[in-house]
Amino acid sequence: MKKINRKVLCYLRTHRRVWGLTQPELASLMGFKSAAHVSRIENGKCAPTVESALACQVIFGIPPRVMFPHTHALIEEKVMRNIYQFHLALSNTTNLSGLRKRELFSLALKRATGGPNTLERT
Amino acid sequence: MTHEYPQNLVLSIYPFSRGFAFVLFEAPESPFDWGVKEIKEKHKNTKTLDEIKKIIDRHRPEVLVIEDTTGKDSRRTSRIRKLYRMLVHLAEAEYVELHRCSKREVKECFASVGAGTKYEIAKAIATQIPAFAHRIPPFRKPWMSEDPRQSLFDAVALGLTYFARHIRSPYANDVSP
Repeated sequence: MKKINRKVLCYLRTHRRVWGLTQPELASLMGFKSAAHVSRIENGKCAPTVESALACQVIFGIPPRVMFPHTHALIEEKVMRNIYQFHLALSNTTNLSGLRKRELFSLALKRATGGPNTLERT
Repeated sequence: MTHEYPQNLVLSIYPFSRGFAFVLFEAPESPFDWGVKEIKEKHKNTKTLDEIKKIIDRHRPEVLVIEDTTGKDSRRTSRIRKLYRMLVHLAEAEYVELHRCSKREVKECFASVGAGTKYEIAKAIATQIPAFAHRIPPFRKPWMSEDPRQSLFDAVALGLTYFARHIRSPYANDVSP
């Protein structure tokens, strides 16, 4: 029997420590008053906001998709499900606007890196 | 929230007189987390074991790497040897694969880069893995006690020796599985 991991995957702590930054230092770089916010993101207790994800990219040069792979995967899965529904709804469309939307959805579906149910470790 | 974690995390532990050092690897040159925990209270082994259990619970590594103290070249104290025995039981209870690397294997692994002493090994690691470059301890003079940061590099060396056994690492030379 194998124990299943229930933790959030986030590379913020790794990159912060690679560069020898402390949590208060990173918090002040990101514009937060206390280190608690950084700690919560690192420990997966809260998802990063757009502001903090972009601040991390500015500081470390790592895109949010790489820095917060789990958050990215969750959002991707949710949006892809919606896109798939839209794509199906437009399957019989013949007008130009509908075809253009279908083209966008097809491209987005092709770009998808992970499918549904990829978040759970089996 | 339930989430995926990097597959095959390798945790290497190196206990020392004042605590223990740990390093979690995703790959030989990709450390995921690391640190030195100092434990100064009584019942050091029990407290060390609690801390290690917390790390295992948090990161769920696939493999635990510790030093092989059964060889003649091992000079660890009886407390550390006892701690290693406790770690074996912990690994079993937590379903973590346990690997041991002897001091000789570590030295053989790093011999290819001309590193023989602990300090030379630490320098070789710092050159290869920039994440540890700023943690390198000063050169120890005979009258100085060992810097706790040295134990971090000892833990890294154990982890890299494990990788050298199983996959080709930059330090791998003639270390047989």
